[in-house]
Amino acid sequence: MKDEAELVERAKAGDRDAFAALVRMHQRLAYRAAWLVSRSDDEAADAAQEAFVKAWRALHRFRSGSPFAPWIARIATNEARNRLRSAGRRRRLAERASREPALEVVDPADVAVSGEKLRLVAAAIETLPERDREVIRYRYLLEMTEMETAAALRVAPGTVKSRLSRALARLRAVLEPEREDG
Amino acid sequence: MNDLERDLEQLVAALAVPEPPDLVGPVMQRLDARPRHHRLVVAATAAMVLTLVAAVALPGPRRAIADLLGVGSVEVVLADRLPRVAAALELGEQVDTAPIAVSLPAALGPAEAVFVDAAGIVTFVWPSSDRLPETSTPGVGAIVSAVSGSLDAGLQKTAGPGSVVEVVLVGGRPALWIEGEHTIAVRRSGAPIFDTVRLADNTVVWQSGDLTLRFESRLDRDDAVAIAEAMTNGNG
Repeated sequence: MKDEAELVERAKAGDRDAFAALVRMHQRLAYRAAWLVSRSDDEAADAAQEAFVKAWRALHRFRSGSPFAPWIARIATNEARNRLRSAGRRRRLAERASREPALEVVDPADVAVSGEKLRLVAAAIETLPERDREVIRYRYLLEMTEMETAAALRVAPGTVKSRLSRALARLRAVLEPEREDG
Repeated sequence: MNDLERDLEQLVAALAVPEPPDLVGPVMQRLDARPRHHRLVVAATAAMVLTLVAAVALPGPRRAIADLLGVGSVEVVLADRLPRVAAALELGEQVDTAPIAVSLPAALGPAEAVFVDAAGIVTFVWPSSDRLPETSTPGVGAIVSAVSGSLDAGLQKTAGPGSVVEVVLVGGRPALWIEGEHTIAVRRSGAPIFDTVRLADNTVVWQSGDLTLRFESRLDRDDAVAIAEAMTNGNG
């Protein structure tokens, strides 16, 4: 497995094969990051591809030695978000005035979730503000470390901790009527 | 670990995010699909935004970050207004020999003079002639400046409305062609030194080894790029 920093250096110098290797290494992550926002296979593939193209053109701005994963995850997330916005589609998964998660939310993404409990958690996440959703996405759904999440969000690691605890607190509040904390 | 965090960790698997199709092929194709000479005509529109750095020097309100192109130690900022020009050509002290090795194009003949400024930027100057129409600086036909990558100094160019900023190839690598009126400022430690702002003419900016090179003249793109190529081949 090639050293990532070396690949980045070569890609920055214009080596396309090196960049192709980086794409191969990170395409799953970029795609997942996009998919979690757009919830559409085609949109996610498009957004992920465009994210890599943007990354290629912005390589001169990428600090050598930094991890590539948080950077590409961020670009892919933003790309997917921009597409949602520009398509004029706001995915209204559950607007809530009340705390009760709506079991009747028919979100195609929910169909992919097995188990009633997890379905509720997934629906509840979608009711949170984007700030909370994004930290949960990076930290749990994309399985990034705290450092990687901090890099993707461009905040200090301590901020990730506090954002995460706020997000989880809100999530608990949404799920509260349904669950008993053990 | 509590219930919720455990659920979140299980959620990853349960979400059944599909495996991506292979993206490498399509991505590399999209890279190639971009025209090699990618023209960006800078127009003054309401959507035009400026970098924070340029906005500091510009009169008028600050705006958000614009596209920042860069080659080596030179950054090009796209703006809808040029900074106020304060100085004529300020090249520093004239020296007898250049402190760094730059392979100069034979086609231009020998340079008339070499200068080194306080930031360590080396500039070669050719007089105007039949071959080299006079630039915006009287008597000057062409300038080559070299910035070493190890210097803290860099150059910042601001391309205004009506300028063309284009990506070209020099030595097989991406370089910048800036046509039309733009300004250039020496930048040290990240901050522009705007008392060295001046107007610049058509310029090719490219990187060769450790050096960022600029060739400035009234020549058109093809001639200027050919000069740059000749210099790059010499540098190796």
